[in-house]
Amino acid sequence: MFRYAIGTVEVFDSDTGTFRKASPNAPIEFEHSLASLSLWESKWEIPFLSSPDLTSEQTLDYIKCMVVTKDIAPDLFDQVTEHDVHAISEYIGKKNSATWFNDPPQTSNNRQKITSELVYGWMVQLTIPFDPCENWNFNRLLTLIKVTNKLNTTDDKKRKMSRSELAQRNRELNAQRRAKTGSQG
Amino acid sequence: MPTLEWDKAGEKTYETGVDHGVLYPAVSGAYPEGFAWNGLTTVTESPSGAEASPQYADNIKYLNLVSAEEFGGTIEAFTYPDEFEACDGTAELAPGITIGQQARQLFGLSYRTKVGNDTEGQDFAYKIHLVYGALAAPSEKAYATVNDSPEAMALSWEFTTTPVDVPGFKPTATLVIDSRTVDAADLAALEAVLYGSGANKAKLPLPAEVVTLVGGSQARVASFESLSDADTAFSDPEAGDGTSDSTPVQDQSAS
Repeated sequence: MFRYAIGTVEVFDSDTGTFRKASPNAPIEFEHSLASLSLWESKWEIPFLSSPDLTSEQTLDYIKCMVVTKDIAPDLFDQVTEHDVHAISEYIGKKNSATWFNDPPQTSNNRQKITSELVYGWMVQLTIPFDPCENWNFNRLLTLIKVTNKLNTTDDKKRKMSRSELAQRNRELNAQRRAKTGSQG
Repeated sequence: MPTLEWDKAGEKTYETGVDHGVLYPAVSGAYPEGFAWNGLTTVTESPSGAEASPQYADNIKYLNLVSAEEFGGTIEAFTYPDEFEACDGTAELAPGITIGQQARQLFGLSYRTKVGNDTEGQDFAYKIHLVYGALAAPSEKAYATVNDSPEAMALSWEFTTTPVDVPGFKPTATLVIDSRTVDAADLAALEAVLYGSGANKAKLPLPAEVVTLVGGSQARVASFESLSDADTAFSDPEAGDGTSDSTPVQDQSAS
């Protein structure tokens, strides 16, 4: 959940001689979730994640879809600043998870466009409940889907490292460890 | 005739811990120089072969044909010396430029395993293991994709061996020298050869030379067939039923 005050601008504080962020509005809560994505896609009928060049109107509308706080003033979004868009975009890009993956380099050229219905489909397939997961941070939900998918993959279907990948990995680890321990091997 | 006794104090032994690892790249069938392998953590010995093929005639088993024995295993390490790269099929074209898919150099290996007992503890004695004619290949590994920490990942190689001649015996790829039975002075002489001393570089003596060095005592220089001796309590518990021959020996201090 991202708590943020719309209308934030940088103002100069003459007392401290520094710039600080200030907004005339109270902070409200946002979430970049599957629910917000679904709401936006049902309106604009284009895949949000595969559309890199959104118009200002589309971007502003997605910010509205992200709002979780109830009963906000209707004219609040007239005050959205560039700083606000930047701060919210930064939150959308955050991983929001402590999990990481050691995936092999991608060789296939996957042209599948990810839409909210496709993600709902994955959730059905992996028996991940819509509630509360559709309201989770979207990147966190994608991580959960990926983890569940990996856990369902049997050992014999996991991709093996090639000899060159193994040799490369061994060389790198050996060099790192020797540098760290000061050992000759 | 003396009465048999079981579980006498000091006779319950076990084997653990790998240390003093030395790599000896092979040059023309000899192992003229050794390099300390500090990062060696585990050597799992996996002899194979020696499988019986029963022959029957007239509904009676009259012969067991036994296949040749081979010695191999797995080496695991945290780090390895530069000299092992040639054994792993890598060559340095110029400083900082390495190339793969080169011929893998044969190598010899020596390492110690600690022998403990119920009265003296872990430092009761040790065995020096010598391996000849080893050829390494990286162990197969799948991408462990979720939260796979590279910090704990062991570097691992499978190795196979080509036996070398032993005077008076069949060729073997491994010798085990037990500090409990070899004369201390002879053992010191052998260690001076294995680990180097003064101006003499460390080298791996061939079995004939090992016998010469320690032959004056009641040396127990065993080919790998004797690794499953009853006093080696570390033997794989499954080895007895023929399902596995692996004998993992892990460096506990490094883990």
